[in-house]
Amino acid sequence: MTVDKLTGGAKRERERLDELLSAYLDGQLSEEARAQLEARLAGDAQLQSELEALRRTVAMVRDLPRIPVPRNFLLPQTIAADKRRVAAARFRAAGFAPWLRAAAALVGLFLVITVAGALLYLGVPRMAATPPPREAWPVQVTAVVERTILAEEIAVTPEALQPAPEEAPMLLVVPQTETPLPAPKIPESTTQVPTTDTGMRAAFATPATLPTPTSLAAAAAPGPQPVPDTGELEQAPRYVPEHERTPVSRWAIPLLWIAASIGVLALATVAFLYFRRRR
Amino acid sequence: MLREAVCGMDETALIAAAQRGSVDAFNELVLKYQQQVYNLAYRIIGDPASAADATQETFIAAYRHLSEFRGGSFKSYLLRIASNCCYDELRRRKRRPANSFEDLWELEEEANPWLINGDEGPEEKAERQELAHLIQRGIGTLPYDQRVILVLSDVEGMSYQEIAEIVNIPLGTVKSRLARARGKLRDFLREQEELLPARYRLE
Repeated sequence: MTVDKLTGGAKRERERLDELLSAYLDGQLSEEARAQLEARLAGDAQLQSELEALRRTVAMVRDLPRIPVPRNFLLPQTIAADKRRVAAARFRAAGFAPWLRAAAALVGLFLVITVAGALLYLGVPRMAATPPPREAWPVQVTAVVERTILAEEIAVTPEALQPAPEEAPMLLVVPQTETPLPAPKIPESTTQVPTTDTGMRAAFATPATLPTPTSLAAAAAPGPQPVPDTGELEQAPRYVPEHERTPVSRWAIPLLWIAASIGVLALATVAFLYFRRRR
Repeated sequence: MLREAVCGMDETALIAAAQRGSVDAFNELVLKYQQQVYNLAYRIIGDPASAADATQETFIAAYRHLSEFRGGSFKSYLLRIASNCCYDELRRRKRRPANSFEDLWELEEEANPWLINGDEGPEEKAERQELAHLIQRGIGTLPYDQRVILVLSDVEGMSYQEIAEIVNIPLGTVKSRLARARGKLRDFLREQEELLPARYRLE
């Protein structure tokens, strides 16, 4: 009778019994358990034959002859040099480990920034269709900025959320800062109140200012999809025609980030493969 | 270090010298333990060539990681590495299946001169060979974790405590795995009863 042919309960019971008998053979039972088993054995011929079969099995394994070694397994003297080389390689790898970790962190950072950039620059047109409640905006945007350490580039603070004129996205705004426009030269300045002008100057002086949610929405959906309620803000940047600026502004920065991310990833991969092979 | 210098050393001194990089000192330890490591490997793997490979791997790994040995039983340290090397060797064999236990029948005789004993008659010799072959086949049918424990306990004669240290499992698990392995081997031998020489039959 084999264990396979037994049902689950009987199999477990048999395994439990085997454990008892096996420990008994090795003298590993407690005094009490041993006495109990011996009392049970005295009146159970079946159990006795099980014990005997187990005892003979163990004896046969123990009697297996020792096999002489086919050869000596002595190590060559060169292994000492190998060991030193392995140790040195490990040391080098350990020395470079912080660099690899830093590279990995950088890749992670790039990834986060890329995702955030994509959200900020590409996700906005869709948001413009259904603008969320104004109150919810500052929290959401600042949270993203904090996470991505974009602060030096785009600073969204509650103060920056005052109604500001629409700024051109960064790439095109930057050159403009070097040629500040004198206020009288603006023909529409009659309709534009001075506050708008100063607001504009402030924006140019600090190109790091991020558009407010509403202006962002307006900036991201210009030209082809006119946004009805931001007409006034659309008027401001007459010096940069919209049809020139929109496609570049929307794609350039995310593409730059993606290219940089791929570059960092490639560098990290090459470094990893190089050091792994050296090891 | 000169070879003569390591000859009179005790095991602790040999280990210390080997830890300082002396290959000669380590080779003294190899000579002392190679028989035991090879037997363990042979019984676990069931093939002389693979067992020799695993044995050599064991000593190389033991030398390379000697700095991690912090006292205690050197035999346990070696057998722990050996059981890992056997596991690796078995996995390698699984990827490129070599000889089955059946094919080893012929190999075994050539590789193992212990099967030939001048004092016994041809019939006894045949019986002994048959039995050893059958038991080795039975050990080969056990799952790896049970096989290692059975070999450590019943071939190498290690105590439950030593096995628990080598395999790094609780004492209770050693006990139950060993019982299961022995039970399975007993069942295997019962099934193969017609192959078992009459005087070795279990019933």
